[in-house]
Amino acid sequence: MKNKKGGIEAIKRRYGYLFVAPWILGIALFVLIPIITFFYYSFSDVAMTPEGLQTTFVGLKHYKYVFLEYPYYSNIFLSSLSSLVTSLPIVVALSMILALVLNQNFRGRTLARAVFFLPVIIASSAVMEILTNFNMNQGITAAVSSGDTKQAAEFMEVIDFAALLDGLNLPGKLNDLVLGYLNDTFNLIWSCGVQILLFVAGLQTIPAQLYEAGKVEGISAWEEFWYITFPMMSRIVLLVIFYTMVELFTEKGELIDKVLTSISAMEYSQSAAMIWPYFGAVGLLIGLVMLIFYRICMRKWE
Amino acid sequence: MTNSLLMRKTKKQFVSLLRAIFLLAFAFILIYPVIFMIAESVKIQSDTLNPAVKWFSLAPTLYSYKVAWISMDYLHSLINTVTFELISAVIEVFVCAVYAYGLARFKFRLKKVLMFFLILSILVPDIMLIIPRITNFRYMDLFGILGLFKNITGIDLRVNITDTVLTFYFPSILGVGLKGGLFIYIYMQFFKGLPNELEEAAWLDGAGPVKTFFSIIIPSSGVVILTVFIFSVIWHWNDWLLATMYMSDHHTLAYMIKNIQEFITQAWTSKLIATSQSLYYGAPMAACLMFIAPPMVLYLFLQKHFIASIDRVGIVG
Repeated sequence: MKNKKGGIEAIKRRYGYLFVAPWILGIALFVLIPIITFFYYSFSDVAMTPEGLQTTFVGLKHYKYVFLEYPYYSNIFLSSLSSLVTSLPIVVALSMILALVLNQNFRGRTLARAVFFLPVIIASSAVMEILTNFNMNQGITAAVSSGDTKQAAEFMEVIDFAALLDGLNLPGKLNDLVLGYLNDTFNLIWSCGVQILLFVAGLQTIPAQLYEAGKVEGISAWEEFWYITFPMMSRIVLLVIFYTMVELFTEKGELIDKVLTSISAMEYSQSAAMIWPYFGAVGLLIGLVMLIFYRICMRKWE
Repeated sequence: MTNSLLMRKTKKQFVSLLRAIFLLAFAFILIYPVIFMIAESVKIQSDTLNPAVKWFSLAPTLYSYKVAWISMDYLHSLINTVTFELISAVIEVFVCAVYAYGLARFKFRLKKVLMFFLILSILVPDIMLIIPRITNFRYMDLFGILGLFKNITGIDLRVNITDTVLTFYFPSILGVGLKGGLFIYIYMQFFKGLPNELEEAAWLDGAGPVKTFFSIIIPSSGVVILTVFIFSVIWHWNDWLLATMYMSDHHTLAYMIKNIQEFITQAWTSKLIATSQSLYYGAPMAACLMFIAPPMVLYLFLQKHFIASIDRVGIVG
């Protein structure tokens, strides 16, 4: 019996490699080689020549520039990291709540789901950029500039809540409060699209029998969530936390914008020297958060 | 008795009301830009200068849509989007499931290293990989073997695959296309949630891992396949970065939207659209609406399956 099991394990190992073999080739060709190349750029001067990119090794020159002479780097670096603490829990909780609501049966659900799907379509496309460049009072202010990644924050200019609120004649303090609240909500809800869809998908995989059993036992909705839904969803929560962090750190933020602009300006070495320390820190942080969540949630139920 | 029934009914109505308020508050924020785009897109030029017209035009027209259609070369760009982006989107939906199954369900020595590379491939933004990749595509080579061959014999076997469909299909097939790492990770989390007993039973019945994958895993993963399909199609549809960097003469819709102002001006200077009304503000908004409409329709068509698949998973699990 033991022998046979060892046999199966050996076969399984071999099949494991069979399943992932093409992907290993892909990782080597299209991820590892480019990453190593880009890493090498940070230690060298890169020049465009007719034969392609020519590199000369210069040691730590670019890192010195970034850390010592570029004054904003450490500030941007820290503010990017601190956004994790504020945004992550709210985004995860809000999208979980919205997914639970959207998963209920009510009239107009199809429409509601369509509306909450809008960020998935719009936020990742250039449409967002066109809208942010579209000033409501003056029509188009500037042509859509290329390589310019703007975020949902500036979307407020399009919505023009300020003008809407002025019409309501609220007292000044309240006006500011409502405006600030709407602004935050706006940014949050526009970054929840993918997370909501992942949660809705996760909710579909929970066997209906579990809820039926719960009903027979007479548990409350609150207990139902904590004893059935959340444990069954823990992997998806982990996935959503991971996705949210990746999105927060690698798609948005001042530092990423700065790096993207310097890549468009073909300053490869400097952008490489800027991004690698950031990725080191971000990688550690993501690893840490995932580990903590894994320890707290997965162990308990497995 | 009737009293408690009444209370339960009131409570239910109260919950519905709360839900409606909650959803409407958020929905307003989400739907506002779309209403804005629609309102802008039907305005005529004089409306944009008329202070009395804030929202809705006094003489709505669909002329903007015509301008947008011509400027974007819509049909042609749509065909490009389908051949370059959407086909690789569909390829990724399938191959990433295979690779994720290998990583989620098998134990082998290199697995920890591979997991590290998977996370790395998700973390590193595409723009950082693209510049080295373009050189890679221009002289397609496997680990420098063909380059070495060239140095020895002088015969260059390296092919230039830029501007062909291969620049999109090749990485997609290998699971490292647009967001490929993320799709593998999503699949993995869902596969890990499937009960082990299913596969073990199939193993004991003598089905190999490949057969198990196709006859057990795929049929019970409807929801996650659908989710990845939606994300893959939307992100490929929206992708302008790869389309800009990899190609010079096949423009996709996303590329057109990214540079919409330029293309409207271009259509106007080459007299494809009438001069008098060509440059007003409605056309870019109409273009945006025409760009987001197809994925929205696709989603509306697919989203009902999010409900239908509950029972299927229930039976299998």
